[in-house]
Amino acid sequence: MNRGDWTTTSGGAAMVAMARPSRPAAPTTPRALDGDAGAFEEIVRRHERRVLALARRLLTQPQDAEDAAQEAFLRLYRALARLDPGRPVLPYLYRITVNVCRDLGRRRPKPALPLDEMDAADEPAARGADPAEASRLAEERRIAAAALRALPEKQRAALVLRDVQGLSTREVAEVLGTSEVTVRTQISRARLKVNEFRERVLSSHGGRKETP
Amino acid sequence: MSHPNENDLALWAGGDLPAGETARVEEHLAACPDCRALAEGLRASRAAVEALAAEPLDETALARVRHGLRRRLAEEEARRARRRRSAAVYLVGALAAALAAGAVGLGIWYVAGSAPEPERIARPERTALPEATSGRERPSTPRAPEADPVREPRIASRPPGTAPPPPEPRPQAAPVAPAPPSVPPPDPPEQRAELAQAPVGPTESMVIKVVSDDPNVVYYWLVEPVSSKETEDEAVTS
Repeated sequence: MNRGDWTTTSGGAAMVAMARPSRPAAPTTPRALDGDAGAFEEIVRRHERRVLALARRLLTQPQDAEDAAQEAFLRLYRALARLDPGRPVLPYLYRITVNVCRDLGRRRPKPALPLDEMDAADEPAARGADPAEASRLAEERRIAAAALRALPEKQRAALVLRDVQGLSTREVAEVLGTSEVTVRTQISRARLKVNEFRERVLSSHGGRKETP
Repeated sequence: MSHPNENDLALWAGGDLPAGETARVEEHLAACPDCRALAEGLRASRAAVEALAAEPLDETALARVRHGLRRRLAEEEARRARRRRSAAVYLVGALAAALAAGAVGLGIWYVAGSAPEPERIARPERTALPEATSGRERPSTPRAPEADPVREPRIASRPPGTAPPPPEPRPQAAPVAPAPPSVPPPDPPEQRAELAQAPVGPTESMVIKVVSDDPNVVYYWLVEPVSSKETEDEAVTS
């Protein structure tokens, strides 16, 4: 804002000058906002892959992941002024993403048949020397992704953060704002359900069960 | 040995059991084919989930995220700028209103005397009271200040004097009279000196900062210093 707008008297101008030192580094000026925007772009560059990958696994409809990632970064942008610059941004960003995906998921109806509705374009093209092995890995991922989608929302969030994103149970608890004990319960149940789902699918797909 | 519960096996599969329990579970797994089958299944499915992390992201999806984010940020900034502009318009109006209200407020403040600074006034007054209560005219004082409210801050800020109260209908003026020679209060130069020292009211510039819930909108209320001419006039008329 142009200070000239409100320096109606010379005395006022003097007082504004006086008041300035007492004004802490609050980002109220366009310059400060520009600085934040620069820092914000860096945050986006650094974490966009993680956020998009997380959203893709948290949502029952992966096509919503791009919207979710945008929304998560937008919410972070709005919160930027309130964030403690001394703390890492990633746990906060994870938490926002989880919340955005939860909100989106609650608005959207669940797909009826998670595995059958899976988008083939979601899978990367098979590469490498062994096409059979590549297609087996792709199939494994397809099943794992479908198994995640079949999980209850909270168990899915805990398991994705722990097993896909690789956070420790303590970090997961921090992101989800819950206790480590709760997280351990959630991930153990989630792993059992994923295992059950996978075994069921593998046995129905021609008995390619790997466990002895 | 009893079978570990399946939740523990699920935790074991991800390396999430404490060291002691891990050893106990592994000892059991070595001897129990059923539990081993479940544990290995859990490990395999966990590995499949973990492998999702290695799945390459679609670069075009990332580009779409970036593009969409840029567009939405631009919209957000435009909205903020609009809000700032309307806040500026509002601020000019508010400032004008505040100045007008301030002028009225100052007027009231001078008429009411002690009102804006109750703490500073109250304390010296209490020190003056024990001395004053010895005076016979004390019962009339609670009503008297209304006739002369302007005096109170000035009187109160003075150190309690030692001069005996002159027989006047205004008992509070005398006990707090300054020790130096001239005892009678209606002395204009003396009054002016006291006013300059008196820590009352906006004799200096003040900036009142009002923070809104939008971190980008902060209102400053500028309060003009009171000119010494004005206070002098006030002092004389009282």
